[in-house]
Amino acid sequence: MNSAVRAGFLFRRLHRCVFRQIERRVLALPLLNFHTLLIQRDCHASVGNLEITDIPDIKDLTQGDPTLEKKLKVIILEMDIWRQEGERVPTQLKPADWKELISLESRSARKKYLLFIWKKEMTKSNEKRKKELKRIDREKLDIPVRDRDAYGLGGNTIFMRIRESTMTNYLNGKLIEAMQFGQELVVDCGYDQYMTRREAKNCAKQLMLLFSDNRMHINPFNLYFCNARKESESIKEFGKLLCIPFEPHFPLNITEKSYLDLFPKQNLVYLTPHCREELLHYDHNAVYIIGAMVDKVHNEPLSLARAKEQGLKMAKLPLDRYLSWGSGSGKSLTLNQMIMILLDLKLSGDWSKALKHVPSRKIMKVYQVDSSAKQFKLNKSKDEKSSPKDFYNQLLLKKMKK
Amino acid sequence: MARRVSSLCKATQWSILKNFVSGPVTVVYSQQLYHTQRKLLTASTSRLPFFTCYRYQHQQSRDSDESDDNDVPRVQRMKEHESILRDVIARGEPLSKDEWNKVKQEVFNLNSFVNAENIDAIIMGLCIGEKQFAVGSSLLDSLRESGISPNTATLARFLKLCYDCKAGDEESVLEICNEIRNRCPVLDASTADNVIHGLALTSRWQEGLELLSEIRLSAVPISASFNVLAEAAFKNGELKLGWELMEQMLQLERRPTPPVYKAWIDQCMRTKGSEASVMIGQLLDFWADHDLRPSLDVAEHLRSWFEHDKYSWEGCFTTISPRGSCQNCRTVLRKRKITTAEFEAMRKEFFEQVIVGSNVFLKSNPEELETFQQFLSRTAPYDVVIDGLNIAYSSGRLRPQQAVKALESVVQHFATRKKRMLVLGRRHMQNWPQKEMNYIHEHAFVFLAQNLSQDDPFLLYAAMYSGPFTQFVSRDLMRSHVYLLKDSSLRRIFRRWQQQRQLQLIRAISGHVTIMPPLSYNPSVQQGPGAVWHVPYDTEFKVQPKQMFEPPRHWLCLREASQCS
Repeated sequence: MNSAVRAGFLFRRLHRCVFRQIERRVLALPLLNFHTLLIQRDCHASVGNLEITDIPDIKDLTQGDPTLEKKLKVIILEMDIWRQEGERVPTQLKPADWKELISLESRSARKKYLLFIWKKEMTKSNEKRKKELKRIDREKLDIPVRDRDAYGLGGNTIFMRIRESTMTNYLNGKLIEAMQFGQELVVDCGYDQYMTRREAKNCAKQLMLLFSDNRMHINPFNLYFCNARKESESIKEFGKLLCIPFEPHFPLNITEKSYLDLFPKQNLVYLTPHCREELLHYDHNAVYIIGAMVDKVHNEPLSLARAKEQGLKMAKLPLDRYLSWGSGSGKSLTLNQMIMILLDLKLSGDWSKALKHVPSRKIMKVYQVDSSAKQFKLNKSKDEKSSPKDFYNQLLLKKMKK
Repeated sequence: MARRVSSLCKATQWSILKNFVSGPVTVVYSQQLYHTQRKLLTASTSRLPFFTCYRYQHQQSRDSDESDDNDVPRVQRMKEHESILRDVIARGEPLSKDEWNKVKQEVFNLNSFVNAENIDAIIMGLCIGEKQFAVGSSLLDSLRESGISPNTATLARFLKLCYDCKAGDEESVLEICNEIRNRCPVLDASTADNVIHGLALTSRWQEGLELLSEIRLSAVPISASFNVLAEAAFKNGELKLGWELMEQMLQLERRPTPPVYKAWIDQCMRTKGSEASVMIGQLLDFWADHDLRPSLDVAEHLRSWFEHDKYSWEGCFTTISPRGSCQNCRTVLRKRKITTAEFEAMRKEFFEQVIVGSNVFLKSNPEELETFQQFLSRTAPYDVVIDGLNIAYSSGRLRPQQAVKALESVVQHFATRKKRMLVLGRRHMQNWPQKEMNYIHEHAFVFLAQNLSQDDPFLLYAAMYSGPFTQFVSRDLMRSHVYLLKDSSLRRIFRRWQQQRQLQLIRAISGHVTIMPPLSYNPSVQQGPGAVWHVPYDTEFKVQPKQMFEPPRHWLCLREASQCS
């Protein structure tokens, strides 16, 4: 594997596994297991298998409120009934899952949430099973076990080993340099009250990807996460994904303050898709603001309303000007796509290079019939990456027409 | 094929490939992947050559008990067990204990998600679908014979089966209800609903009311609970209770089903004297107030009541002409008046919830609202309010030269009829061709909102401010604005006001202006002069009927036979 790809995989480990605490998995149903049920053919699963006292941290969940306790009993019964009807309901729930289940208002929301937990459970058990089978197959083949970190070719390689910590230190150093000399970029995290829990989790993941994309780039921004309250769902989840973002040595500025307190107002430009002016010329002295919101549920122009209220300049990306938009998925871009566009724009000043980070599924593709060969040829829109061969062919065609 | 397929989105890819392969699929993707891992690699690999490919093994569907050779997707396997069971149930014969065990073993051998825990409830659910009472009760008997006590879901579904097939004696039903309630001190929504169905067959149907309030703890009750109880109430003579339940149902946006109406009409048939006509009047007023329409079978039932031998009424299915006259009795239908109080309430709520809403900056800003209100106080009242941009772009996204001509022709249309007009638009209209804009400014008041504000709420508010008789011209159906009004009664008033006052523009090209006038009559249940009722109906019962913007096509005309010529 070449070093760049390896760096990517290592980053994945860094963000996900290296510093993460392993949560204690608590069994809610100690004995009930699908496999044992299959064996005991004439058993009957009576209702109330799970008692309310079996749930850990029950006091924290209900806080002694009798209506909440009653609701919890109803929810447990509901789960049992769904299981008896053959619906997809998980067998084990963590304390955080119970908390979220109580807070959901409607039956259909609870059903969807339980389906989500069931899917996670099944994926895990399937992976485990496959791993077991693979292990058995490998034992049969009798391959010698290699040390995970050893290189091939007898343990030799001409490349110098680059360790994770070296890469981390190098990239953090670039971030520190950006904090001293680079341009600032503000991410406005104050939209938590408009997002559902699922959206908040998606937002946290996008924030993590935004941070990592920024760090990996040759010319990073000095990132500020403003209006980031530690109690908000998205920031809490973000803290779980990167375990050390709130420590002072971490190269990221997370504050509860607003960007109005940190930067002079005339430099601020809010990037919102609901306004009319396009951002045609990138200003290296301006402080651009991106709203950290996943708006699958709330479709209102919230960022526009905020910018209007605070009297800030607004701009939107010139997507219509440079790209022919296709019919697949709307014009919303994720946070990491946004920051890649801005990073490349800052570097090159060229919109066609920057907008390459818009996913190609959103852009219209034109299929052309080549009448001579009677084949379908894929002809991409002119702003997309075209291979040198296509470009040369088009040049030839133009010359022949003349 | 993989390269061609790779340019489509993931869902389309999988649907194409599914038709060709039946085993585990190896999909070769080109560089534009959107798996999460890919994102982390983006920065580092953006300098890689274009044709790097990554191989991903498609993840198997996530069923727990399947073996590795069983690669058939879950939906297909679900149908297999269902087809086996449906064959058995559709025959309609009760099965013995051994026969049931054999059928169950056959289903278990499919190695799907169906196991000993959930098969009973699944079978009972299929019996409900096929309406086979005998098969369902034979299942319960076979379980009891084997000494297994059926689980709660099976018992609850059996109660629903009893209700749907109108079978099952009172004792056994009550026994099952008692058992369920003994097992579980609190019931969840679906079990409680099924128990209500069971109780409605017996004399203890009133316990269903407590269960209804219990359901509310964790969920919104489904309409079946209300309907079953209302029907039971009407059948057992508790008329007031039945009406209360119907009102509660409507508060939660649920609709009564035909059996409830039929039960009420049956009750009317049983009562004698003028009481019965008062009761029928109550039903018709209920429909008129809530803008409800019965289905065809209820309309038939109603007609048969009216044509009872005691009464000399006559019912006839008919249509209403565009001018509002009934084809049968030639009476002209009337509009329903909106009272001043209703109008004021709607206007106030509209301003607070739609224009201001949670944040005034979403649709406009405070300064603009202030300016607008001052403008209205200076220049109101108007005869017509025109949605400038909607009219101008009525033939598509035209250039300003053509757009302004459309608007000018509409203004001219009203100017010749000497109407006082207000035209609403946006600031960029100041740059439109001067000649036509001058004409518009001469003949109408013009208010231009900020380019970032939405102009529809302004249009509606101006029309409401001006008075209950002001009309407004737009092609928009105003659905999103209605939804923001929280109260359902206010929404009904808004819809009524919109039906009476909105002039729909059909065409405004080069001087020819076609405007559709509003409906001259109220398209819902109404009483005519003398002894005549007109009832619109739907050909079949819909749980949530779509908002009708066209007048109903089917009507029932009921009138006293002495009046017919």
